Amino acid sequence: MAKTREIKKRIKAVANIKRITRTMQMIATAKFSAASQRAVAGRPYAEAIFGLVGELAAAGEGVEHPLLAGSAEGEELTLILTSDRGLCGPYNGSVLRTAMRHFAAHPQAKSGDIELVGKKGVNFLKFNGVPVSAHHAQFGDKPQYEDVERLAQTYIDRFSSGEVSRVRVVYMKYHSAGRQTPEVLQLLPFETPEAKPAQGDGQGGGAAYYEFSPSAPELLNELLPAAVKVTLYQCFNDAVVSEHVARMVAMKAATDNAGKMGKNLTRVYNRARQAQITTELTEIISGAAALE
Amino acid sequence: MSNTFECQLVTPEAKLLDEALVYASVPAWDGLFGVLPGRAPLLARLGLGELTVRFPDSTAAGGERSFLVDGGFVKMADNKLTILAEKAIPAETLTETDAKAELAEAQARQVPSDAADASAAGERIAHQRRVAELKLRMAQKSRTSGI
Repeated sequence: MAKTREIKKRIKAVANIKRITRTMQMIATAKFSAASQRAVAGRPYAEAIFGLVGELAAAGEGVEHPLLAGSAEGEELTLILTSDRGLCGPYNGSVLRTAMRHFAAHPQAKSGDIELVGKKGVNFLKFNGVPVSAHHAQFGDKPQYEDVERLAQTYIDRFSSGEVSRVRVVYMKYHSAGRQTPEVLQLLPFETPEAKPAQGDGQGGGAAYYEFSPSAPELLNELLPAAVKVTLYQCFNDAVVSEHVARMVAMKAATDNAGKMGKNLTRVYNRARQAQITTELTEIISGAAALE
Repeated sequence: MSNTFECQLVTPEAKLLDEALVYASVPAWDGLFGVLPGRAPLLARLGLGELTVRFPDSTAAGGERSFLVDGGFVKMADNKLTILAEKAIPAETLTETDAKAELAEAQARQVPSDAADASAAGERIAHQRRVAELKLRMAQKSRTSGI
């Protein structure tokens, strides 16, 4: 009797957990589609900005800009994007492991400033003895362009004043719903995107002769910070989308496992119940036989 | 030569417009300029101002729409106008009361005496005031025009 009751309790617990993980999976799915929609909505802007930078670089003779030229000296700054919440499978682990590998390969990154987004990285870095100079907690689930822009602006200022020589971002890049990879992206000095061959439809041939207002170098001066900002914004968007995908996958696996476990437990329970009945029957029969 | 041109208005967060237009009035950094179909290629920086777009009469959405635009870039090439605005707000979402409150708040603001960079802070506040004034103007205009 005692054993069946025990098993029954466990079946109930597993069913409850399954209900929770299934709900979390559905929430993650909904959040994922919202986040990916936001990421997709921002893409035309980013692409157009990069296109403009490419075209300007092609039009201007010999692009030189403080944001493009890196100085070898000075400290490096690394920004690590992790999530605020757990239960998202290998998401934080792989980002942080990539960061640790990056630190091992680049000692000047390890000795430089390390900034962090998301609560999940705090303990990991503390345990590994990595000092975190700044923790940004204002972003949350929906990174706003204004917040990201402000952060990017501080990096641009620190970079152009020579305080830091490089800014890198460690984050989970989102390729597709089935593939995300942790990546180390160099934000500053900025790497110009390759100038795309002009998609002229016969007229003009090659790059169009633009009228610049203000002049091309001045425009580039304005464009490059915008490109840096939008790159960082994309990193944040990618990280959020990847987090939701990871949570979705993890919770799907948890739900499936809970289902399997519940099935097994039910089987064990039925067997135990049957064994109990058999034992009782045997006892009754042997008791009756003893009376004769 | 068609009598319309393609226009896209995108911000980092969303695509606000992707339609054929007959005319657009774009606030560049040094003043408004108008765009008609077939305009010569242009790359310019945007300032703060009101972007007005006119749709062809044949479409259901015929008429005009306005956006408040603050900073960004504009590109015209191959009869396609791309407006990359850092911030863009459709005029119909602006209300007079909100704009008035914002203006009052901006006007009440003072440069903090302990500000590290007083001129930059002053510039920011002045910019905020200009944004609020423009919002108020646009809100009043859309009310009188009955949108």
